[in-house]
Amino acid sequence: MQRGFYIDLTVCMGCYTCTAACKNWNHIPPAATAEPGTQGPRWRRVTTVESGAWPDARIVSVSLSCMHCGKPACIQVCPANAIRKRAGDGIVIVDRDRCIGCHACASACPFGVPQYGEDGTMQKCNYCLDRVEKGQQPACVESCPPKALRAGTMEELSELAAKKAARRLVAASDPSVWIAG
Amino acid sequence: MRHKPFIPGRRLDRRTFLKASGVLGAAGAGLLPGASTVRAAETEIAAGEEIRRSICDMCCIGRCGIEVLVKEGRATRVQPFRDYPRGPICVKGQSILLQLYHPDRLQYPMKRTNPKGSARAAWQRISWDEALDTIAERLDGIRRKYGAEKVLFYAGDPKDAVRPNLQRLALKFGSPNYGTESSVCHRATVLATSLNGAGSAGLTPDTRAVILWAQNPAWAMACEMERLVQAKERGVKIIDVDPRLAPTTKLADIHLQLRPGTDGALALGMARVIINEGLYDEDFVRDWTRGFEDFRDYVQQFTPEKVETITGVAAGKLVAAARMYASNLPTGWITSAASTVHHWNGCQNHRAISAMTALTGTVAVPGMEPSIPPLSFRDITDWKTLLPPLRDKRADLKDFPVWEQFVQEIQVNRLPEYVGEGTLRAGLFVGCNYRMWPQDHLYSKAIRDMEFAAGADFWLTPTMELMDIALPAATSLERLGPIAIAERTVFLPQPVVRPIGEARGDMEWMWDLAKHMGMGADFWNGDILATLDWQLEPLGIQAADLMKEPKGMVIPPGKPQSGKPGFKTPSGKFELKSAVLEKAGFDGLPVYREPPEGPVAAPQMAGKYPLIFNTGSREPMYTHSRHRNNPRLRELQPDPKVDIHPIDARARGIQQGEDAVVETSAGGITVKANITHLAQPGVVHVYHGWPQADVNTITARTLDPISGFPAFKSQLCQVRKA
Repeated sequence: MQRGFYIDLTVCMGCYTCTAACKNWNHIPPAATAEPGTQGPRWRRVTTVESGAWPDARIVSVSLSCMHCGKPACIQVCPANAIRKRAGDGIVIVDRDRCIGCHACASACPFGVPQYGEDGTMQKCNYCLDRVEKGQQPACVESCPPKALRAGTMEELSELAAKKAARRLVAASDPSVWIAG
Repeated sequence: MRHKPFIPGRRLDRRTFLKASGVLGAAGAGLLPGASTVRAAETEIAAGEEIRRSICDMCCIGRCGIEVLVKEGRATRVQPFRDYPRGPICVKGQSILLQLYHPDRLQYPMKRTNPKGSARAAWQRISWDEALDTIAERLDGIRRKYGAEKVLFYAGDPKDAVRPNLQRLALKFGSPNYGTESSVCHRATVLATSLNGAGSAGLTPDTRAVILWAQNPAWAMACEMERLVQAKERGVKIIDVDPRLAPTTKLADIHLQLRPGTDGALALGMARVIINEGLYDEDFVRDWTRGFEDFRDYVQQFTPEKVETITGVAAGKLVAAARMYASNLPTGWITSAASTVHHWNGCQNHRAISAMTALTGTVAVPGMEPSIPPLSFRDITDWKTLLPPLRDKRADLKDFPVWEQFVQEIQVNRLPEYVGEGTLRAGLFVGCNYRMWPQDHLYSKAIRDMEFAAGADFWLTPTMELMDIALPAATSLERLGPIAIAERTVFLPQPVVRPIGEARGDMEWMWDLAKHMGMGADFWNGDILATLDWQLEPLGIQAADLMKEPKGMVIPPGKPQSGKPGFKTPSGKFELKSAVLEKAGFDGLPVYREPPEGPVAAPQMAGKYPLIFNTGSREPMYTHSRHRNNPRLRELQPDPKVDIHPIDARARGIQQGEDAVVETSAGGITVKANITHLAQPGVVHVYHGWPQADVNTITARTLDPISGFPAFKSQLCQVRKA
């Protein structure tokens, strides 16, 4: 059963807890050689978008990571066979020992997910496999203060989605993400 | 795997090695982390990781439970402590290990070796015994020469771990002059509701509508967000009063986007609708309020149209909000700790807001219904016994007589005057940040001018640079206690890792200091467990038993207790007209007055400085001046900034991310322009706590005459391209 994420934009507060929880759990360093404030890789990113005009403007935050696509574009272009999709749960993982750092996946991914740290190899969300295999939620989902972010099989999430008229994110790669609001 | 996992503290060590030793001068070599304290775990897999539990101290209010994974004595990562009633940890808590293992942590007691006022302090490592002996001897010298009350005991942002212990130390030493950062935060909102008689309920399962007044928990208290979202999902109406289009605003049914500082006018306008439309609780008002007729007559001038001209809130929205609030009983009332009182008329404005809870009868009469007392342990300060005999020596007695009647700590905001006049001559400062005060150079000078000052902190902060002795404080993950209570759970956090260097928990070093001062008998001879036993005695449990419960103990509620019904006011009623304020020469009614440095009261000034200048808001990744050195948090907001509306930015030719100068009559600072609809046109928000762009160099020192609180949120400025 394909696993995925659900994000409720009416509830996401742009608080970055998911971003930090992901880095904390997965031991992702800050940009160690850089000046304070420089960004290191973030497997989960929060983007804030503003629209409209005063007094009816809207500010929306959205937290996104690897979409663990049904037909991952990254896998198709990887010359090193470093990326694979797990059979049971559809989680897309990268073997950084095989990765040659060619950035082909970054060009192919429609969502700009692949990132490269100091060792030059591709890194991205692994759905917190170590947690999920123990029956726990991914760190980002577990930490989300307003519970805007959920994880589960796409079927489980579709029940949640039906209540909020959420929609599937659409792209040729078939991303495994529901968006509400 | 080829890549190395990141373990907090390890990668930073080499990079900041030289920096740390440079900062710390000649003593640097003695300060570097010992090999045992920087030993790093080498695997990223959970094998061998053990969960230990504590309380997060990354902000001053959260007190969320935190689970820390520890391997071979070293914390490797954290996660929410979901079985604890308070949480989950937010973005700051998720970055706590980068604080714990930061190479710049102050690790050993230090004494200054060059004169105060030097460009940078020079420090020499000393032993705890020498440090505490010096403090005891110097403070005793001040006491003998001038009197014990000349010594200020001051706590900054830290709360439970520091404050009660420090107040006990002050009072036993003989000084009533214990003060805290709450002189600019929270105490004034409590003062306002105490003058009226009571605060009111937040969210309960019965709540049908809630008003959020100047409160953005999304960024200030993320741990509260889930309850708010759940309330929204069960149909609770939400009215949000906020000058900004804040993240929490998106949950609101009605958003009242007022001009900062006009809260009182808005509340009085809503009160007028509630009264004139007969939506108020006649029985409650008749039986339990004082001054209703005068209040009713006073609010008549606040017609929706007039309030629109004052606040900028459309008349129709005001009426709709008042009706929504008064027609969906019971209503909840959630206000910020301090935003409403960071105005010159703040205390009265907050009283006006609070009045709505009496009009609707949603404020509970204390003692009326039998209730279960909240879980509590014994108060270590013993102020009820120790403070009254020392009251006459309070430094703030003449300046803030209303505050003095209600608050068991001094109003510290006239510190420069108290030091200048010789009222205060020495100080012990725990977690102090002088940059929190308006015209903050006056406050750094006051601390520097003291005959002796000692401080405790995690870092050698700019404020610690003003000290004679610097003490290394342990973080919450390194210390025992303090006792934590959340709902019916009592929890005693134990150290999850050994302290860095010689850092010590606050109670531990304060109790040791008491021994050095010859007061050991009043401080359980330094025995922390014995102290905790004494505190826990009313709960019928002992510290040793509590320590065996890694998730704390749930104490079942006792029998509901009833008392004599009545508010704690001179009349025993909710005072829409305050007898205490009348007696002190202030308006008894919550009269609205314009911000003195605002566009209405000071049109000439507004010609030169046309933007309303609002400071002190929270961002999710920082707590006041803290965490700018935490790389995981800093990368989320690298620069000091001004939030400015697109219309105002366009009029000034300012582009997103450009440098912009924020100017007031006191000077200017350069920050990055953040063009956003979060700000309304005509109002800009500048964030505090940045050393390189210190907003309190340009805020005016205008204090609310009742509470003494600075008007941080309704001044005037201009913004221009740098």
